[in-house]
Amino acid sequence: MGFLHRVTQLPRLGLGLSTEYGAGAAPGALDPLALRAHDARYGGFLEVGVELSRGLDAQARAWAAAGPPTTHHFLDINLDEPEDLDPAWLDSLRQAQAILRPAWLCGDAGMWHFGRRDRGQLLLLPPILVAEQVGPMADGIAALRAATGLEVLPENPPGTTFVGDLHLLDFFARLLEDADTGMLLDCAHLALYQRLMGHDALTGLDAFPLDRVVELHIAGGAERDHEGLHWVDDDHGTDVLPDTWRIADHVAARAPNLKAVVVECERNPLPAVLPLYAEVLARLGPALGLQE
Amino acid sequence: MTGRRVPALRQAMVRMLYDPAYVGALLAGPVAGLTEAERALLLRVDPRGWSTDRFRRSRGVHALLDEYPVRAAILGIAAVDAYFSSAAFARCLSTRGSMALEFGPFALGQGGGEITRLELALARARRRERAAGPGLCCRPGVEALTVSAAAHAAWLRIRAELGPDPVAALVAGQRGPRPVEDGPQEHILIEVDAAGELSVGAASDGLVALLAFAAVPAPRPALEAEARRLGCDPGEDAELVDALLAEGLLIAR
Repeated sequence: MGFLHRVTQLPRLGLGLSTEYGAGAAPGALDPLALRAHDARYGGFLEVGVELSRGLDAQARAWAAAGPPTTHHFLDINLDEPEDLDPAWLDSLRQAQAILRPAWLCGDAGMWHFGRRDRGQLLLLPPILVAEQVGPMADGIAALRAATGLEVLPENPPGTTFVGDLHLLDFFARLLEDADTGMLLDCAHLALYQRLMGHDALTGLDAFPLDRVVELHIAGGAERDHEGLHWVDDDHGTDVLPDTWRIADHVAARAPNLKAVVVECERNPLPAVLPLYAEVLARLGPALGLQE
Repeated sequence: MTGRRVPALRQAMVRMLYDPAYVGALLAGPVAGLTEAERALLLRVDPRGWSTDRFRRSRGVHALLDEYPVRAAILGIAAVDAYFSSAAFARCLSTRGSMALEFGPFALGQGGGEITRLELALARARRRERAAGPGLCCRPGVEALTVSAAAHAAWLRIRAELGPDPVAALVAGQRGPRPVEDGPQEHILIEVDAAGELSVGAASDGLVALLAFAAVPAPRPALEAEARRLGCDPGEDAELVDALLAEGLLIAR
């Protein structure tokens, strides 16, 4: 059964939020259950960023115990390295799966660690945007899907160094086709890529298979200057750049299988994120079947 | 389209993130390990993009200071920092290695001595690993080694002087004297408990030698033969192996 058939069986999760280990422990950080209590439309699901060696923190466990939906966002697998799907990691993944019962797996399709997984070796680099990268990464997605029974949605990572001769969206279009899967499109990451490469925010979207977009990420970014290089720091603040909105609006209007939108703002206090959620609901709610 | 190997490109990208000198070398001309087609792809990226995270290398140094604090107290932080511009770091990338475990041999090559051997053994114990294969082997998390007694004493003293936050102490400039490394040897056993706490204690020379032999899985007869070679009488060898299995210092695979 192809992905475009399988996707009809995925639940529509609506609008949600993200967290990762320890994010909620910072003073003033967003409490996922408090957001849900404030407005269930804003906290429709929790995307849990998981580095399996650290496990799940109290907030993630509390959410899972309360019962609302989750997704599992991996932070520790290089999809194109078969060695990363080792038995110990897969066992830990299944244990987390038993607790979170995620609707799907997702995460940046990039380089999460150099060498082997070990302390001090985590990082996040974009994939190398060449045809030779597509096959191994697609194989990894298919292997992870087979090992877990869950859909695996690759996400376009952030970065300041994109190596390769393919446009990022051309690379991901090939990857989605080869892996027969859907995509988590991070609008903020795409916006910073387009700006860094000197493209318009919507470049490449016309030819992109938007029917494979299942999830969107929206997040604030901060403009930085480094030795004269202007780049965008994906800081998960509440100031969403205009290019990110343009991408989100464009895609949401054309993605028939969109099931979920995450607002990444986990380190901000509840009052600070409410206006952002209201705007996301107003702009993207109709695509998710949500009313203002 | 030909000649572009993704692993080689990724390894080069990581080196570029950690080592400005490597970026300079790559900009200047051909570098070992990359074809010209691969180098051309990297040259298309604005080189300033590799250093937007100003603290990446410092975080790497921090991770190594955590594992080799006494060695750093003796030889200085700069000697640790040098690892990220070394062939050893490149080898870690190309062999899917562990930075901490690869740093040990690099530091030994720099004159790290007995203290480095001890801290490398601690790093191994933390990772609770053993080579794959059937047979009996030392439990992951147990390391047995023989070091100079003076070096062991110096390690204990300097580690205590560095206090509960050794990295902070090192960054603040705290140093330790290079120990005398000759003289009598000491046999020690390192164990990590379930909570990740390490203990370092003295053990008999025979026990340490046998457990060191069992660092790589071996058939039971080979282990018993080694026990006899180390001084066990016939019959005692099997009893010793049984006792070590019961104690959990050896495991069967």
